[in-house]
Amino acid sequence: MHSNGFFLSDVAGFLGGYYTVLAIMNGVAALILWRRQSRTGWAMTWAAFSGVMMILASLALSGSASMVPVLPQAIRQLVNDLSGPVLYTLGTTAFLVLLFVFRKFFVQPMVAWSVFNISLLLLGLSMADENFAAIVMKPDNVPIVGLVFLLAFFTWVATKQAVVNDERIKQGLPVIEKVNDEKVLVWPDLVYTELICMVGVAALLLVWAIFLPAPLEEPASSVKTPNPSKAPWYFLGLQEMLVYFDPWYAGVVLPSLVVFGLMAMPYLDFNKKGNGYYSIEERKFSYLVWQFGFFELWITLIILGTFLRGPNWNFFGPFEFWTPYKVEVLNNVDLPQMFWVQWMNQPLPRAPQDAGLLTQIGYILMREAPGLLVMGAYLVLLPPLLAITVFRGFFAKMGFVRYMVMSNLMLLMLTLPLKMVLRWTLNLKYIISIPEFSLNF
Amino acid sequence: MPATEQTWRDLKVLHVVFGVSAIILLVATVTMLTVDHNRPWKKYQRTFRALETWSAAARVDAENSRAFAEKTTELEAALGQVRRADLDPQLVGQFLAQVESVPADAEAGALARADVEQLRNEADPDRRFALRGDLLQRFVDIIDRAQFREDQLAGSLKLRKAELDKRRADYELAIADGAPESRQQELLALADAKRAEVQEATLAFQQGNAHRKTLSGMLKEITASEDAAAKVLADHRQTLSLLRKTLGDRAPNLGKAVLELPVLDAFNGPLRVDQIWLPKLTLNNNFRDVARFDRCTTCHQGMAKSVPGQPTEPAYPESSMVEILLPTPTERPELAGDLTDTLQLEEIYGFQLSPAGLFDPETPTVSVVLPESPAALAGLQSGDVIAAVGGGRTPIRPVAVAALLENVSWGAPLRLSVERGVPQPYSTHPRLDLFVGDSSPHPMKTFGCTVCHEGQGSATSFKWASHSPNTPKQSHVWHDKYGWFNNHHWIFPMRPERFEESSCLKCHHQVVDLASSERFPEPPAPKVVEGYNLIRQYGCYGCHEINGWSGPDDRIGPDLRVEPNYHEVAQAISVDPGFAKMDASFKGWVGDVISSPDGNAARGRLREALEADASRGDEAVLSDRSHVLAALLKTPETPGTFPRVGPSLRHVGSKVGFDWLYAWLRNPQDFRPSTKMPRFFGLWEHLEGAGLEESQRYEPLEIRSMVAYLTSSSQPFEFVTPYEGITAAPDVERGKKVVEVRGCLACHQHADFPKAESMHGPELSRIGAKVASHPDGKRWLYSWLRNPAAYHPRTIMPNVLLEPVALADGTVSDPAADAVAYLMQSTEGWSAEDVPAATLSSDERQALEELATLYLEGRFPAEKAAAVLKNGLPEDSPIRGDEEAFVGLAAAERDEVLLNYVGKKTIGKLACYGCHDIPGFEDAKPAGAALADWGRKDPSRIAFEQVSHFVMHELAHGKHHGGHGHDEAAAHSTPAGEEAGHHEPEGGPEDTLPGDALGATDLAYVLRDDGEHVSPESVDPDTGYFLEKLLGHEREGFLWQKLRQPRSYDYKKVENKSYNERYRMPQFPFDAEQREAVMTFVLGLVAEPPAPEFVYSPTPREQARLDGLVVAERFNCGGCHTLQMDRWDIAFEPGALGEPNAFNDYPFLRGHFTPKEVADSLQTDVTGRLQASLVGMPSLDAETGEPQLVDEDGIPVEPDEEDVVFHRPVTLWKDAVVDGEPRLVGGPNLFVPEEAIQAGTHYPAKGGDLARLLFPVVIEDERAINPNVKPDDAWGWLPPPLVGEGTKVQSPWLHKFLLNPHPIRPAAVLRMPKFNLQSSQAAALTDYFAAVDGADYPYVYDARLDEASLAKAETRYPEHLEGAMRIVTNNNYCVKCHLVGDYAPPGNPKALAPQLGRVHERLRPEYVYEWIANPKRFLPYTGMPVNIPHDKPVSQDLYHGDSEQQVGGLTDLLMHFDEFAKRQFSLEAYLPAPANDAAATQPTTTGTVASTATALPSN
Repeated sequence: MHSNGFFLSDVAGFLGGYYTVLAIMNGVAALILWRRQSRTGWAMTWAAFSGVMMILASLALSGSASMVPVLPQAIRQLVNDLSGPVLYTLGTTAFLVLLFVFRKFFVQPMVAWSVFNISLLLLGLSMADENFAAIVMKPDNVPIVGLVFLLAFFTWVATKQAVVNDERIKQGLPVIEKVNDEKVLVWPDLVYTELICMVGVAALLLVWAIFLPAPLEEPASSVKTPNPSKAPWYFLGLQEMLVYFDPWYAGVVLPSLVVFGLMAMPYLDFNKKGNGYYSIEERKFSYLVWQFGFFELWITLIILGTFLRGPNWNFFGPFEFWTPYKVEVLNNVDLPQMFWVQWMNQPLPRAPQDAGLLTQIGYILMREAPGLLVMGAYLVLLPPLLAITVFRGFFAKMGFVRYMVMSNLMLLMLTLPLKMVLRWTLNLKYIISIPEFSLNF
Repeated sequence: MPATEQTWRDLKVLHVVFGVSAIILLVATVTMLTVDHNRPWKKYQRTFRALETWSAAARVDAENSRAFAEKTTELEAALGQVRRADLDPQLVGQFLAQVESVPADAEAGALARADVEQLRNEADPDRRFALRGDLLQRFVDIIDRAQFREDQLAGSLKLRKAELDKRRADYELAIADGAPESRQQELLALADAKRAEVQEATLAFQQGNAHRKTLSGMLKEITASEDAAAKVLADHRQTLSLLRKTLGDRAPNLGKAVLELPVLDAFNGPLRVDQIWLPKLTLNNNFRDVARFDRCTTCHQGMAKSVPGQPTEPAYPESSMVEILLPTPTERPELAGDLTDTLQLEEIYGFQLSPAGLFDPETPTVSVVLPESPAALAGLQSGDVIAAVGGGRTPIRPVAVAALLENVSWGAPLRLSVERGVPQPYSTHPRLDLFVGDSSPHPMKTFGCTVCHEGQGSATSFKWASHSPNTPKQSHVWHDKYGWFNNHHWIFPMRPERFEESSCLKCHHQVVDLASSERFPEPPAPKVVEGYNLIRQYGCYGCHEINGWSGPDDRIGPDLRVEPNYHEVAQAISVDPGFAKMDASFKGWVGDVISSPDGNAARGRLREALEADASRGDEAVLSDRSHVLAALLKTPETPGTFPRVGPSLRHVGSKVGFDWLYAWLRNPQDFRPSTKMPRFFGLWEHLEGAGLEESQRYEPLEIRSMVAYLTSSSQPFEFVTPYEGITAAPDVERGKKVVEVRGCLACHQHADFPKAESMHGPELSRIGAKVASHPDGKRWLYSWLRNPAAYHPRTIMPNVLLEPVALADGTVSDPAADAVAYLMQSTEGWSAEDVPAATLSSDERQALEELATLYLEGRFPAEKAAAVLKNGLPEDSPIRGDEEAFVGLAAAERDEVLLNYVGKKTIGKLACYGCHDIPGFEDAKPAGAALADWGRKDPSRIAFEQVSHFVMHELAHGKHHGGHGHDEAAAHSTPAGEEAGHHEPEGGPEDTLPGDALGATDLAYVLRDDGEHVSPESVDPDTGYFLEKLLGHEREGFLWQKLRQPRSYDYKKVENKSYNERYRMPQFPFDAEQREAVMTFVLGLVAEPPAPEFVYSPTPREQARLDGLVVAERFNCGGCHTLQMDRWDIAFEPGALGEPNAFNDYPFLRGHFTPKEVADSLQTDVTGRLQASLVGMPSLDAETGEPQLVDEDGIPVEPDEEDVVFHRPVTLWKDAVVDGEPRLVGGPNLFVPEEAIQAGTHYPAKGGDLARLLFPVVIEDERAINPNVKPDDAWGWLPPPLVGEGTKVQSPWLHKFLLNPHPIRPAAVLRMPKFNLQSSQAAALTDYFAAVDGADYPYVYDARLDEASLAKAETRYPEHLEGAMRIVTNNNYCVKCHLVGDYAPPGNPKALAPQLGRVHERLRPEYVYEWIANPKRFLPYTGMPVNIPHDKPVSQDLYHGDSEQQVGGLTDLLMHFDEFAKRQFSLEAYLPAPANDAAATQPTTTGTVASTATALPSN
C-alpha cells in the first residue's frame, strides 16, 4: 500500500509507550509473585519478559523507523495467504473447542497470563504493519479490540469459577458461591464501589475523548456509498449472515428468532442445577449451545466483520491492504439449478408464457421441489428423529411443545453454520430460490 | 445472618482506591480544560497582537523622530507668533460696536473697551501677551453671556408656543363640541392674545440669536490666523495620536490578561474565533447546501491588513529575502562617545535596531527607519531582519551591530541580506488589489476564504483545515510541526499553492477576463489563463468536451466545445454522387453553408431539402449518408464556439504526398519540432515483450492505412489560377521579402527570420519539403497563399491580398509566386526517412490482415470475419457502415480496400477528427472523457492501473521519458538514489547513517526490486509532489502522468487486453510548466458555480471587451497591431524627468487631471521618490529595432558606456501627470532614467510584434531610395497601433472594413488582410475597440453629422464648406499629401496620406475636429503638421474665421464630403429633354455651379 509515508515514525511513539506499559505490567506481576515466594520461577520468567519488553520499547523509541520491531514480512505474508472465511470460521471454532476441552489448563492464572501477554505482544508486533494498524487503530474499531480482551477476561473468570466449582462438586464440597454467601452492606460495599467505578469510567471516557477523538468522515452522498459500507459493530454479525442468506431471512427472521429464543430460554430450561453458581459439568448442553450461539455466531462474526471484511465485502488477511480492486469468484448456484440442470441434465421447469397464477405456482413448486423437500425433512422429520435418538431424555423431560420449540430453535440456529459449510463446499447459493416472490432461503 | 459493622472490603483500601481514582478524574478534567483552553489559534492571535503592537510602536517611534519634534516645535512657535500679533483694531471696533448695540451688554462692552485701551497703551510684550489673552477671554465671556440670554429667550419662546397650541386646540375642540358662539369667540380671543405674545418672543429670540451669531463670527475673524495655525499643529499631531491609540488598543494589559483566563474567556474575552458567515456561498454537502463558515482569519489575522493610506499595499507581506545596498559615509563619523549603538546607527544610517526581535528576540530587527535617511533611500524598512551584512551571517543583534558599526570599509556600500515580512499565518494577502481588501472585487466579508482556497473553513486548527502542501518536503515539515495529515474525508482540500488559481474558474467562466487588463496590469491569474490558452491552442476539447452548460440557461463553468460542423457537412454533401442532379438553389445553399456556416437561412433550407429527399425513399437522389448528415445541420441549444485546431484534411490528397504524410504521422516532431500536433505512434517506453512486439508490428501498418484512407477519401480541389500578365519570373529573393514584410511573420516562424517568434501559425522553415512531397504541391501552395479559404473555408489564415506588383524594371511580378518560390526552397535539407515502399510486403500484408480481422471481429463472428476478410461480402449484402467496403471485394484491389478499411477504423480509434476535418467523420463524437467536472471526479472512479509502478520504476532507473522540463533534468542529472540524502532536512543525524539515511518517510516508498530507493522527497519538489499524488491515487497525480506519458497506463496491462483496447491518448509536446498550467485549468473544472450574484457577470462594456479579446486572440490581431501600450509605473527623484513644456494649444486639447491625481503625483514615498505611471511606446533604435538607450540629454549611447546615466526615451500615448505637471501626448519624448524604471514596474505592450519587428526593416528598405528617411515616419507604413481606435473610427465602418478591408494609407508596406471573419466576429471586434476606449457603440449620434448643424454653421458663414474646400485644395495644406477624390499628390508614394473623400464614413467627427487641431495629440509619430495653429489661423482669404472656426469648417467639410460632392452634381444631363411645359422655359442652374447655403432648405 502507498501512504504519505509518515506511518512508522508516527506509530513508533505509540508502540514505545505500549511496550513500556507491558514491561511495567509484567514487572509488577513479577514483583507480586516474588513477594509471595511461592512462584519464584514464574516471577523470574515475567521479569525476563519485562526486560524483553523494555528492549522492544527502546527499539521503538530509538527514533529510527527501521528499528521499530515488527512481525517478519514472511510471517505476515503467510498469515495473509492462509486466511480466508473458511479457515477463519473453522479456526475459531477449533480454537473455542480447544479452550473448552482444555479449560482446566487454561484457567490456571499463569497460563492465562502467558496467553494474555503473548496476544498483547503479537498485537504490538502487528501494529507496526501499516495495513494492520490502519484497521485496528481506526477510532471506530478500537472498542472492538477492547471487546475482544474484555470478553476473554470475563469468560475466563467465569470459566475459572465453573472449573473450581465442578471440581468441588466432584469432591462433594459445596460450591464457592455457597461458601462465600455472607451478606454485605449496601454502604460501603455496594454503593462505594459503584461510586469508584463511576469515577473511573468518567475518567476513562474523558481521556479517551481527548486522545482518540471521534472520527469525522465525509458528508454522506447518495451517489457514493463508502466501500466497504459497514453496519454498526453490534450488527456486523447480521451483516455477515447476508453473505449467506436472503435479506428477509438474515435481516428479519433470524434476528426475531434470536429475541424469541432468548425469551423462551427460561421456559425451555428444565435443568434445575447451576442456579446461583458457575458450573459447566452440570449444564453442559445449555452451556455449549449458549456459547456456540454467542461466541461462534455473534462475537466471531463481529470480529470478522470489523477487521477482516474490506472493500466489496471481500475477505482480507489481517496484514493485507484493503484494495477495492480485489476480485473474488462468485459463481454460486441455487439448489434447483444444481438438481435439475447439473444432476438431472434437463432445463428448469418453467411455466408457459401465458400461464395463470396457479399454473405458475405449480411450476415454481415443481422447480423448487428438491429444496422444499430438503427443508421439509430438516424441519419436520429431524425433530422427531432426534427425539427418539439423541434427545430421548430431553423429550421425556420437556414434553412435546417445549421440545419442539427447543429443537426448532436449535435447528434454525444451525442453519447458519450449515449454510456456510454448504456455500464453501458446494458453492450453494440458495436451497429454495423463488425470486418471483422474493422468497429465497 | 444479621448485619454487622464488618464490611466486605477493607474500607481503607477502598478509600485509597477512591482517592486515586478521584485524582485521576481530576487530572483528566484539568487536562480536558487545558486542551480546550490552549487551542492553537490563541497562540497565533497573541503573536499577531504582539506583531501589531510592535509595528505600531515602530511607527510611533518613526513618527516621533527628531524631525517630528522639530516640526512640532516649529508649528508651536508659529502659533505663538500668531498669538502675539496685534488684534485687528477695525475688527475689534466692530465687535465692540456690536456688543454695545445691545443694552444688556453695554456694561461688558465698556469694560472691554477699557481693556482694549489698556492693551493699546501697554509696551511690555509679555504683559501685552497676557492682556491680549484676557481680552480674548473677555470676548468669549461676552459671547457666552449672549448665548445664555439667547437660550433663555428660546426657552421662553418654546413655552409661549406650547401655550398657543393649547389655546388653539381648546378653540377647535369647542367648535367640535358645538359650544356656544360666545364661548368660541372668547377662546379665539385668548388664542389671538397668545399669538401676539409668541410673535413678540420670536422677535426677541431672533434678535438675541443674530447678536450672538454676529459676535461669534466676528471673534472667529479676529482669531482666524491663530485658529489656522492651531489646526495645522493639531493635524500634525493627529497621526501620532492615532498610532498611539492603536498601540494602546493592541498592547497587552492586566484587564485583557484577566479576560483571557480559562472560563472567564467565555465572557467576551479578547481572543476569540473570527468567523465569516456566508449564507449564500454554500457548501455542497450532497443532500443539501449549507452555509459556509470561514474561520480562517482566526489564525490568519493579518490577512486583510494594508499599509495605512494604501489600501492595496500589504501591511505584512510574507517572508522573503531582499538584498539591499546600504551606502556608508566615506569615513567613520565622529560621534559622541556616550551614544548607544542604536543612536549611532541612527546617526550614521538613519535607522534603529529594536532591542528585541519579534519572532525571535535575538535577531537584529530594524525598528525605525527615518524618512529620507540613507537607510530609507536604500530601501530598508521597519521590521526587516538583517540576516547578513556583506555576506557574513548576523544571527544575533550584537554581531549585526558590530558588522554595521565596527567592521565596515567606510565609503563602500554595505550589502545587506534582509529578511522582510512575516511568516504564515500572520502575513497579509499578497494581492489586496484583487482579494480580501474592501475596495477589491472580492472583499473578504462577501467572499470569505474557502470559496477560492477550498479547505475546511470551519476548522480552527492547522490539521483540520485541510491545508495542502505544495511539495513533499512541505508535507513532511507540516506533519512534524502541526501534525498535518492528508484528510481524505474532507472532499474539498485546500488548493496547494501551485493550483490555487484553479478556483477562479468557478465564477470566471470566460477565463479571458483573468488575463491582465488596464485595470489590473499585474496578471490576476496567469497560470489558469495559460492553461486555457494551451487547451485552446492544442485543441484538447476536440476529444475532451468541456461543456459549460448544464441547460440552455444554466452556465456551470468554462465552455470549450467544437463548433457545429455545418460546413463540413455541406462539403460532404457537395461530393455526394447525386449532388450533380440537384437543382441550382440546392447547390447554392450548399455553397452558402460552406462559405458562411454561421448563417441560418441557407442551412435551414438545405436541411429541409435533404429531409424532403430522404422522405422520397428509393426515389431519393442523394445517398443515405447525406440524409444522415442532415441532422447535423440543426442548430443545437448551446452550440460550441471553438473551431477544430488542425487544418482541414478534406482535400489533403491535393496537398501532400505519401512520404511526408507517413513521416508526419509517425512522429510530427521529426518534421516540425515546434508542432502542436501530438504524437500517436512509437510511444513504447512502457511496453515490453509481446506487447512491444505487437506495437512494432502493427503501428507502421496503421500509419500506412491512415495515409491510404486520407488520400483516397480526399475530395477534389480546384487550384487557384495565377494572374495573367505576369512578366517577371518568380524570384526567391523577392519571395523572401514578401514573406518578411507582407505579414507572414505575424503568425509564422521561419529560420531565416529568427526574430519572428509568434507561434500562432506553423513554423515554415521546412515547408518546402512538405509541399514538394506532392506533385501538385507547388500549385497547392500558390492557391493557399492566394486564397486560403478556397482550401479550408474556416481557416484562420487570412487572405493577405497579394496582387501583381509593377517592378522598377517595368516587368510585373506576382508576389504570391515569388513567395512560393522562396518557400519551396525552405527545406533545411529535411526529407522523409525510413518510409516503406508503396507496395506491401507479404509480412506487412499479414499484419494488415490481422488488424482488419481485429476490427471485423467486432462486427462479425470470428468465422464470418475470416470469410469476409478472405472473400469479401456478396454484392447484394445489406451491410452498412465501414464494412460496406468489403461488398464485392475484388482480389486486385484487396490491399487497397484493406488499407482504407483499417485506415478509417484507425482514424476513428485515434479520433483524428477531433482536430481535423476528415471526410466520413462529420458525425463522429468526441472520443475522450468529458472534462466539465473533472476537477471533482471521484478518484475511486479513475483507473490508475499499474502506472505508479511504472513511474517508480522509471525514477528508480533514471529513465525518464517524455518530460521536457526541469523535472527531466533533475531526474537525469543524478540517479534518484544518490539524491535522496540531499533533500533530507538539514543537518539531521540520519544523514550520516547510510543504512538508515532515508528515514521513516522513505521506507514506505522503497522500490525493492533492485535496491533502488525512491520517494517523493528524493526527487525534485515538483516531480515529488506529483509522485506523492500518484502514489496516493489522487486526481493530480493521474492527470500529471496522463499528460506526460498517456500510454503508460498500459504498463503491464497490455498482456490482458486486445490491441484495440489499449489507451489511445497521444502525447502532447508540453513541458513541465505547460503541463502544470493545463492541470490548473482542468482541476478548476468543478461544475459548481456559486449563487448567481457571485458569478462574474461583466458590465456590457466589459463583456464587449472580453468577447472582442477572444476574437482578437483567435485571429491574432495582436500579431501586427498594438492593442495595449507599454506601461511603466516608475519611481523617480523629483525633477529627474525634466521640465514640462509650456502648453500653448487649443483649450480643448488640454490634459484633464483631478486635483487628487495632481496631489498624488506630488506625494513622495519614504525614499523621497515620486511615483508616476507612463503609458506609451519605447523609442526604438532605427538600426536594431531594440529600445533606445540615451543619456540625460537624449543623445544615444551604447549600453557598455561608462559614466553615463542611462535613460530610456518614451513616447507618451496617454497624458500623464508627473511631478504635479501634465505631460501630454504629442510632446517631446520623455527621457526616463533607467533607475526610475528599475524601481518601478514595467508592463509590456500587448501586440504589435510585427510592427516592431519590421520597424528597422522598412527603414533600411526606404533608405535605399531615400537616405534622409526619418525613423518615426516608418510607424506610418506599418500596422498601426489600435490604441484609441474606438474613439477614432465609426463602428459601422470598422465592421465593414474588417469583413472586407480596403487600402487606407497609400504608404503602408502591407495591407490589412482579409480574414474569414463571420459578421458576428467582426461585430465583436468593433465593439471591443469602442468598449476599451469608452466610446459610444454600436449606435453613435454626433450633432456634427446632422444636416441641421451644418445648416446652422452655414448661416453663420455662407462660405463654410467652400472656404474649407479652399483650404483643402490649397497647395500648402491638405492636398500636399492627401489623396482627395480623384486627385493624387505627386511625389514619393511613401509620403502620401489617406484619401480625404472617405473620411466621413470612417472617422468620428469629434476625432476629426481634434485631430486637425493637433494630430500629434492622437498619433505621436504622425507626419501631419498642425496646419491651423490656435493662435494663427490660415489666411482669411481662404476661410473667414478664427482657428477654431476654420478647424470646424474643415471638419464639417470632411464629414459631409459626399453631401458637398452631391451639391456639385445634377441629374440634368441624364434626364430626357422635358416636354413642353412651363418649367421648361425657366432657366436652370448649371450642374457645375454649387448651390449656396441660402439655397438650402432652412432646416
